[in-house]
Amino acid sequence: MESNSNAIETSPIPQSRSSQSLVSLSHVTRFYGTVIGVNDLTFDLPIGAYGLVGPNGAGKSTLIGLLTGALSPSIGSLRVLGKNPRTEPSVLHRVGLCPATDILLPNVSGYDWIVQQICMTGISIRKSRSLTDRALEAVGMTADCKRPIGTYSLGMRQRCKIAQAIAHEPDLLILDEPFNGLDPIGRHEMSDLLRRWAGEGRSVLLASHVLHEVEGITDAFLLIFGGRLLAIGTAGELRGMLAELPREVIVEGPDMPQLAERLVSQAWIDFVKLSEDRTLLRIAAREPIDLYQSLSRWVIEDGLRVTRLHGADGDLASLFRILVSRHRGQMKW
Amino acid sequence: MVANGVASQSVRQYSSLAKCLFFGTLGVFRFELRRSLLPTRLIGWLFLAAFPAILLGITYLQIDEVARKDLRPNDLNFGFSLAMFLLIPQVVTVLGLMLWATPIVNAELEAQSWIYSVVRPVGKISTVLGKYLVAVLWTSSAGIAAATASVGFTLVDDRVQLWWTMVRLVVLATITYGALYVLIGTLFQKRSMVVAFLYTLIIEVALSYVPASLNKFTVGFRLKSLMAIWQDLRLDAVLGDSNFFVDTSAQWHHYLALAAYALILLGVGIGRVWFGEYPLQPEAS
Repeated sequence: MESNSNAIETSPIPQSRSSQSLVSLSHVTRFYGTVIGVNDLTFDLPIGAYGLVGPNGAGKSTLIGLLTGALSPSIGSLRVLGKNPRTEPSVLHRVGLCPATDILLPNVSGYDWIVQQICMTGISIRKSRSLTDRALEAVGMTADCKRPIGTYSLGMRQRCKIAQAIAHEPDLLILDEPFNGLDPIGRHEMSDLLRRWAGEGRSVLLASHVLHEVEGITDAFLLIFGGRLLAIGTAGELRGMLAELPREVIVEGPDMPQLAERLVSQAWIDFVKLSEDRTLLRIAAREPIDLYQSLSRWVIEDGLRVTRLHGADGDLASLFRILVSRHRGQMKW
Repeated sequence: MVANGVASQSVRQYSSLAKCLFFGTLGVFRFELRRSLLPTRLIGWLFLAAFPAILLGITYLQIDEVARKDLRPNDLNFGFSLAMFLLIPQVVTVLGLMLWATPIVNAELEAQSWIYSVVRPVGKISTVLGKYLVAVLWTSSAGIAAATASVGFTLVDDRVQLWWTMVRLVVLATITYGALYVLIGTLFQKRSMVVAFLYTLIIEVALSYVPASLNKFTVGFRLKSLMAIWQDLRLDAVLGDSNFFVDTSAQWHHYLALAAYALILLGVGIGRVWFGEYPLQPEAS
């Protein structure tokens, strides 16, 4: 996987993935008048499943629009499955999109709408019907598919959108906030469906602003904010980056006062705070690697008893916050 | 060998896109046709089909026996042909197409369904063509029904001939005005109906009746000319020099002009959606 210079170091994608190019962007920028939708994106993704993570307005939908040929880049070029979706639209046969926007066709049935969508991929009406039946079954909408869309719940409309995206069995499935409106059972079923899809060797690009939803499907992420790619890599690699970033660590054990004495004299320590019961130490370190190395040495040399060590903010959400802070210039590397 | 490979790949790609266009247009046509049978749309259809007959029926009842004997057959033919022409190929078709063809893109954008067409290989073209065909079919059927219901209230000698003239004019009017309103719909997403109405009023109504060469560029001029030919209207007796109002020299001129209008207008509209972009959602707008 390759990315542009303004992003965090690039990381190789897991070995199990194919080397065939899924999407390839070269200095892609998209303007809306004077507003930048995405800014100088350069990366190359092999076949696989990816999470596109970023807050609302980060540029996820613009990037999806570019990948599906709905938008053209103002600067730069891109290829999807080896082809430019704007000039070689036949590649769109192999792409399925579930956009974030709701469908507002109250008087028609979900079934008729999906059949029409499938016909547009060059499939006869008869075959479109059988593909629609299969897709609706996969998303659990068979029973209600003939009712008007206006009578559907938000979750049912979401399932219909996903059914139209998967019915023609695309090689690349792009989903923009697919969990919106789904109840916990629906989310679980949707996660299962997407895991199965990715497990069959087909590619998924899943855009979401909720990290744990994406983590349930794939371990490869693209973090996007302000139209720029902040980071790219697997969850493990992104957590590895966290180790190099300033962070807080909590250490627990009966010998915390002695450990605090050791720490306060170190130049890379921002603060040390001992709990009232003197068994918990909260440490903020500017050089986390030095902290971890020193901790392990002191434990051995001084015989300090440590029962638990964990990050105060060790999940991907904190990584995202840190990367965004860094991107905004609020935090140095 | 390499050139042959590239050529056969191109042929495969174009044949695949042609298949998408065919089935896509068929799919959109079928889907939109079903939507056209919804109760609200059927009420609109009935209104369009009935109101010319109601107006002509009232007129018919106003003309008493004495007046009927006094009017010459040519005057009756001219009067009723013109009345039916104004009411059916002009008003019924224009109203029907304004409802169907003008919001061709805006309706999709408002329903947030445009994005689904955009990400299909030639989905944008299929959507425009499928909706255009339904607009033509729905409006033509309303116009033909209006002609069928109205012709009984005319005092012309050959009512079948008048009916057949109106049917042909309705079909030609819907094909051409449909293409015109599709183009307006693709160029103006907001207030496309207002633009279409103003265009119709200024160009198709006012300009086509202005006795100047400029009126030859309107669809209305071509339709009026065909009506004059088919109904054998002797306009010189009524209007003096009728050459500025109609051209009865050859039918094929008008067929050619209407076909050219329809193809060019539809082609430009399709080009607009193919090469252009519309806002997909709030973030992109």
